[in-house]
Amino acid sequence: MFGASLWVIMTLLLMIVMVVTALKPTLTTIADLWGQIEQRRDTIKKLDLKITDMQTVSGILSKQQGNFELLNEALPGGPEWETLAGYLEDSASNSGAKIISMSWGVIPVSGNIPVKTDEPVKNNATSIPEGTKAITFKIVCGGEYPQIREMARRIENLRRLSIITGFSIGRNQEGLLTTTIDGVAVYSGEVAP
Amino acid sequence: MKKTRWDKGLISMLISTLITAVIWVGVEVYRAYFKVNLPEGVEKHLIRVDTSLDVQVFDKLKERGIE
Repeated sequence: MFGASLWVIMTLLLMIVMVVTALKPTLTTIADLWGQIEQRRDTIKKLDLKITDMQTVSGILSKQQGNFELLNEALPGGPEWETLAGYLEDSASNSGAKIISMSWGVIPVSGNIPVKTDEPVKNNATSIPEGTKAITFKIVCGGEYPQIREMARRIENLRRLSIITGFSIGRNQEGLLTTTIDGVAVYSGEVAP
Repeated sequence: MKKTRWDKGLISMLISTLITAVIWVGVEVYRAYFKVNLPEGVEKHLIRVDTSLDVQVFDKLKERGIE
């Protein structure tokens, strides 16, 4: 009886030693390597998907490359008020109206980099797209009613993202029909310093 | 008789130890399998890119004038 128990005890002791010293490191290493293989396989799959995405994006980019200039025109990096002023002058001359005065919000006097053009839009009712900045402008022009109407239509349909915040029509002392157009021109503000 | 009782106790203890060791090994194997082994910074490169582009915007912009 005692002999048999001794063998059982010895066997159990040996099993414990084997489990701790031999089986545990082996199984842990196998599991670790297996896990690494699975993770790398998963990583490769994800990278393949990303490469496919990048190829798709590259295709779209090369197809639409010519159109990105339109976005720059609509939402330039800086205020580019002088370009907009040119558009407004063209709108006036093409509609037959005459610009009497044109005023702008805070704009840089010299240099290409806008410094303090982040003036908040005063008209609270106007909401500009999130993350963008805007400069305000005001045009006073005169002419016949259809000319003024045509000019307002042209300004409203400008490619440059601008919002008309105020519009008023009246007659001056000389009896000329004049209109005042208040607006904001939006820009992204992402000009490299 | 005393020796037999002592044997039984020892065997029970050894069996318990063996079971504990087996469970411990199992837990260690589980942890080793699910441990993240990817190099640092790889995860952010695996995020997929949004490939959709609203090309109708370009058509709408073309319709608008510049004067």
